[in-house]
Amino acid sequence: MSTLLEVKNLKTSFFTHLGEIQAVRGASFTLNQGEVLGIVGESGSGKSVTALSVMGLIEEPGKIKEGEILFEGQDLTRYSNSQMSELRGNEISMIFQDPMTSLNPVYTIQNQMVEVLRRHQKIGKAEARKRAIEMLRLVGIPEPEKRIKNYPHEFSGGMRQRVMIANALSCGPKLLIADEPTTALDVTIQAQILDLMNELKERINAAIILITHDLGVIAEVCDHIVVMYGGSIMETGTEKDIFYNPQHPYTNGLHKSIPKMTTEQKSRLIPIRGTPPDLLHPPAGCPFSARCPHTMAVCLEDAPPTYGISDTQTSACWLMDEKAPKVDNYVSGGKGIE
Amino acid sequence: MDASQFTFVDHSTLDEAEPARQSLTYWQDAWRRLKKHKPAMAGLVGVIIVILFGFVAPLFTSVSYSDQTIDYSNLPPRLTIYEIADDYYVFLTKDYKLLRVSGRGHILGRLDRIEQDAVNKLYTYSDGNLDVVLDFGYNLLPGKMDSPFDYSFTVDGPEVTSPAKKVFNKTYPAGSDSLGRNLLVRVMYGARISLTVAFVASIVNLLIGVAYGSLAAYEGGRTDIIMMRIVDILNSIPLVLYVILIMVLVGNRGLWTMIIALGSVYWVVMARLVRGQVLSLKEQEFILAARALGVHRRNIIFRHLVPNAIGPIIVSMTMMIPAAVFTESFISFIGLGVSAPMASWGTLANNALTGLLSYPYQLFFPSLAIAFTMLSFNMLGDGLRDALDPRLRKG
Amino acid sequence: MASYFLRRFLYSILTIFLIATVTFFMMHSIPGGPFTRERPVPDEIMRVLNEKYNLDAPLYEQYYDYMKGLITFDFGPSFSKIGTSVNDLISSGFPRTAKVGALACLLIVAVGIPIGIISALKQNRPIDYTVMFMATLGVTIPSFVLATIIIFFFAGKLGWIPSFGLETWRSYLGPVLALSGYSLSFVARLTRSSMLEVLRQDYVRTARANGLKELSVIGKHAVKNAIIPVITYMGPTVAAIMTGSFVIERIFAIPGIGRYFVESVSNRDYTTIMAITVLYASFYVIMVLLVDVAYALVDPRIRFEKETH
Repeated sequence: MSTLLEVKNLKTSFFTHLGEIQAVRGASFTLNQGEVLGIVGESGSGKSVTALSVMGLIEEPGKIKEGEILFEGQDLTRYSNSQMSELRGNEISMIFQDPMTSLNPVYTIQNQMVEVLRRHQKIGKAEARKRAIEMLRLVGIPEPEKRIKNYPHEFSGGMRQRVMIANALSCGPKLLIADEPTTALDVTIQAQILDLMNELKERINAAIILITHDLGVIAEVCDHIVVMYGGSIMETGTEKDIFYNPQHPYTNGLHKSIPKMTTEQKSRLIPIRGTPPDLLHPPAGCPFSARCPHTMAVCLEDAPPTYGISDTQTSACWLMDEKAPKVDNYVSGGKGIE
Repeated sequence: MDASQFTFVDHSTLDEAEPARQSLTYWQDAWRRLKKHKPAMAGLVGVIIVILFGFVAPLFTSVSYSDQTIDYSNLPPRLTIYEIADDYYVFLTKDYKLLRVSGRGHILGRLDRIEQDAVNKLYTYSDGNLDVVLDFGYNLLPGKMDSPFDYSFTVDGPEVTSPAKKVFNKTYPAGSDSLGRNLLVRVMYGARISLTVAFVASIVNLLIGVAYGSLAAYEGGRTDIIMMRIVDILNSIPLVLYVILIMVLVGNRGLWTMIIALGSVYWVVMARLVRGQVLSLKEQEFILAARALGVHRRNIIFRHLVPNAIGPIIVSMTMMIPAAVFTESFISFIGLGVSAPMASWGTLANNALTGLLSYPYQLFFPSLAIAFTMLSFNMLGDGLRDALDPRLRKG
Repeated sequence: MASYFLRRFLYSILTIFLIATVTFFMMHSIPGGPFTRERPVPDEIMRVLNEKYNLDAPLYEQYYDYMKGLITFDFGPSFSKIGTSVNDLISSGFPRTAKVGALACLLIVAVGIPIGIISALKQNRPIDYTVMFMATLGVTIPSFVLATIIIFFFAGKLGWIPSFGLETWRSYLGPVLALSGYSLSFVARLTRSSMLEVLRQDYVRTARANGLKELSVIGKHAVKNAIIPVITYMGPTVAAIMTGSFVIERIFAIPGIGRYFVESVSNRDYTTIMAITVLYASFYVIMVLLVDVAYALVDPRIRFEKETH
């Protein structure tokens, strides 16, 4: 499989009147064609900013300070806004968290979909409409010929997210970025949308970046997972690596804070204590050091390098250093994060 | 790297003190946010200045708004004075009255015109022991064209043709009007009238609006529908027209007529607002939750209902006051305001209209007062809206 | 949707009817008649006058006649300008008032909205600060002050425009500018804040994420949403323009109905006061109705709500 997207040492900051907020502090990952990459992290971890950086949608006062975003070998950070807009919705598409507000309320679905299709492809109105209807049918909108004439407020939340997906996929993008696509939806609808994405993954042959704060969502769809915290990447690996052999204390903490079917009734969920670091004044060392159960002196002073665990897994934690003391297996035992 | 670096540290020794956020009451929080809002604070200072100007400053003046001195009519705030004798300054008005002025700008008295030669444009004035001859024929009479000056004064020595200096009018700092009344004092009393009308009318509006709106929301059903229909109809009427009609109808133009006219018409907006607030709050889940938790009724009202409803009401009050000032000045301007010799800012502006080209300062001061008041209240209102909306609470 | 508009239309008719009634009874409850002067008029003349203007008939009869007149657009004779009917006054004054008012409305929309949009797009840049400074000034200066300032500088000091009448195109500049100043500033501020709000919306980000050109993102997706609150404001703006014409026409000496109204108020010319009040109010009610229609056309959500409830 060939590489579709390669992000190298991406640093994105927002220059507010309070000072520089370092939202992304050196993120690197790769994505192969047709693959699904999950980016997981809590709010403020920099996952959405990473996605918006790829889209070239970082707005004032934000700026990509450093790094490269190679899409099919081309560095997108060097693209002008008009070059990027040729790409957006065409080669790279994005859908957002809240389908209730992501469609323009004053235009019909047809109007909005036809506009995107005609922006990127040399086709007439009738042809664009036909394709839009096909896309709506593909994402499971019943009676698409009729529904396409409706306004967004005439759809339910789940249906709107389907419309968003149809719109994003209408030009056959090579990459789809889904930023918390299910967070704003009811649980049953969430499952439907995830099923839809799983199904589409097979049919459309696009690579997908799925951004979420919910490990459960990631497990169902992703080939590869990136765990972000405090603007940095903590751990990367395959679904198996992350779920069955997590190496980073933060990933471990995430696991412990999720209820599981297998959890004994009386055992408690263990939350990660404390709050995420202030990205206005990020800590000198590891961003997780203040909340980590295994903080060492070095963690407070220097940011950890990225250690390769296996061909597929990496972890940015000083515990991986050969000089570091060994600690227990994280998932099943240990003292947890307190 | 040193192996000692790889030893665990105890979290309790780390400086992990989370910035504990003080818990603030609604008003503390609102005040804190208002203080941060610079334009709002500027607006607040402006409002205080206007109130002091209208209600406190008149206590320190010896003249009344109705005192008139015809001799001193239409005097500008800046005087161009001539020194016709040693330390003897005079000011010539546009209607050729000669006033004795001190070197620092105090008006001392008027010189009588004892002789006038209209053909040669020579006037003679006297204060009893000193006679002055004014020649204003320059640039008017054929023989005296292209002169660098317009007036000359002769006492009994050389002609004085150029002004000694320009001084601020100390007796009438904002000038005087056509009846020789002190404009500064009149603007002060105008502030008193305009603000009284605006405040009282807004309070009347508030009371009617709150009563009407909450009754409609409380009763609900058919009563609510009928009451709101009435509001809808009133709302689709140009209300200024009705203020005018009421002013015509009542005839007697006192302060209270204006207050009644403004108060009886503009409560519609408030009634709608209050009804909306009460209706939505009644249904809110946090009220239900508070009740389910057994919170005392008094606490539900004062900790939950009031803070949520009062913000928009106060903001709307702050916005209503400048609107009332505006309307009042407008009504006064078309001649339906409080009757003379009282005058609001609108009346003052209206009075200035006739002599506008000669005496523009007479318009300037009342207009400035209106604009300053409007600006202050608007800025304060904007800030209050940000500060009092609990939904915006952050940072 | 048609039923919604029909209902709104019927309410408007009802409103106009109520306005006419209230105005009639307000005018007739004034103590003394329209011919009560400081110096008493001889009884004989009073009787003749009252008979001529039908003032001695019972109130309900007068009311009936008045309403009948309204439906046929006959407002009766003027009380103070003997020999002229109110219809004459209106037909001579209304076109002038309407022309100035329409130009002012045009200016408000054509200038206020674009500068509000530009200001929002250039937020916190010098052009934004300049526009907002001017607009803030504009909403704090009453129209009569603005008008006198214009007269003072442009007619008096500079002599660029005539200070009275409506003879040349130049003479429109002063009144139109003075009349639109407040609302123009208000619309600019409103458009700016509404635009800033809309630019933060998710659907604008979606439009960008779909690669639409910036012109389409702003011109199509943002603007249509941003002008919705501006449309709501345009109804009351018409009222501001109309009442503004009372003073503007006085200051610029334009013989329009605004000036007639102010004159009739000081002359106690009741028929003229009533006629102009009813005329203005009806005009206003119709404008509010039109705004509602425009609102429903622009915002499909309103259409939906109104239909369902």
